[in-house]
Amino acid sequence: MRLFGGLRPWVWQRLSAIYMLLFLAVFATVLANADGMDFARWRDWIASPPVSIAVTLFFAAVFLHAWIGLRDIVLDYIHSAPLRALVLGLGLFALLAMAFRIAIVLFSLHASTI
Amino acid sequence: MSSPTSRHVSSLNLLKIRFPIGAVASISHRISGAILVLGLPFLVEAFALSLRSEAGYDALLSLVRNPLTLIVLLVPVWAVAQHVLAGIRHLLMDAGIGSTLRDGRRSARMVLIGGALGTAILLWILWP
Amino acid sequence: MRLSIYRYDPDQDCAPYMKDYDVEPEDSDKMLLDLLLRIKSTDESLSFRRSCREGICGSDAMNINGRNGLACITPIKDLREPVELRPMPGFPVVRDLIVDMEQFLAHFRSVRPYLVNNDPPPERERLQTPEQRAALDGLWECILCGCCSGFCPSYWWNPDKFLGPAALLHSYRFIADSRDTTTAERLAFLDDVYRLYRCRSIMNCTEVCPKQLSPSRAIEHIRINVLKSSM
Repeated sequence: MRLFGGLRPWVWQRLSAIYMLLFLAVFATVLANADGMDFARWRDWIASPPVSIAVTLFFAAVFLHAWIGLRDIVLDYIHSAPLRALVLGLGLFALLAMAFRIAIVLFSLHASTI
Repeated sequence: MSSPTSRHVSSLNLLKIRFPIGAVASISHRISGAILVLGLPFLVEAFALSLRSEAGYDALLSLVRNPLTLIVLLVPVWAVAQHVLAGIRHLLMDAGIGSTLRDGRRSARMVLIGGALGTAILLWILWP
Repeated sequence: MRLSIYRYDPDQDCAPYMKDYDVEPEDSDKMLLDLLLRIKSTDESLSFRRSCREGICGSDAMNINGRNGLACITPIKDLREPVELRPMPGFPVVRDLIVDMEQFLAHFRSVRPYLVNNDPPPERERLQTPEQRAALDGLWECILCGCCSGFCPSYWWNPDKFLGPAALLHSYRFIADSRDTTTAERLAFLDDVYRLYRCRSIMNCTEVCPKQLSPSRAIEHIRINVLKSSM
């Protein structure tokens, strides 16, 4: 089995990019038109199911996109196998840790609103 | 006789290359992407803080409203503008739009100027 | 006119160095190669490849003032002085401006740069419509000088694994050929993180191609074809 894919990460990189672009455009538009935003409204807005799903997908796209980009940079500039494994391992760990953190934040948001 | 490559020097000297504008746009895309990855922990923490409590939300807001913070934010804000614009350029090229040398050069210039311009606009919007 | 030329003889020099030459162009000297030949007549130790002297054989590819090109079709009048001549970036130097093209040519061979068709041969010839033939224009003209691959950062970082713009252009020349029956195999061979996907669409290849071809466009077409074949 090959460790790194060819077409598939290329496609995911683009799909995640398109989703992030759409999300940011909508997110920025909504925020710009939200008068009198405060903590309660912000929290309720993020907690509403459609926004929660969109935000979850956004962070998933961010971490996936970051992983593919990191991988490309490492494949280009780092050629020693142990160093490669180290950087990719640390990167993957950091991205998974951040994904876990986001999952907990969003989950606790719903747990407390129920 | 040993293999001819084994004892020969490589001729690569990056300082002696005259890089075309497309290469500048490309490396800017990569550098801005790397900056964004390094900034991810801050984004994640800021998001978590904004949702944790009223105090956290207000603290974050006052932090962003501080002009000093904006100076620090200059770099990631440029990275966002640059990476988004260069990314759109690549998506269009994948779709076969603007793939000629002339268009590629022009869009590379637009992306580089747009990145700086976008930074200014974003900072202006964020300015307290 | 002053030229600053990269010199390196592995049998004598411990490191490469730049050597300056002053040469007076004669009226008949139009191209950079003419100047190089003039220098060669006074310093025969200077080594470079050349053959057809008209941009067909692709032997005299080199880095001219920071960009790759063919000395034989680079007009003298366009050159900024001192003219800095270096061997093609990223290629191992054999001597002076002569580089080792072995790996580059191995990548070329790896894409099977010839028509493969296992159908029974027709009576006379395999016909193409004018449109099918036109699809090959901008692809078959490549002379394998190496200017593109030698100017591609992705090729500099992974010259052993990334096929480089020249080999990929040739690969696409046969993917695009209506008479070739092995498109699926060709695409499967290219669906690899190194062989094809090290290309980041920098377009340096297209910038320097002395035949005004567009390897970057060919690579885009390949990626779309790989995508379509997977769906």
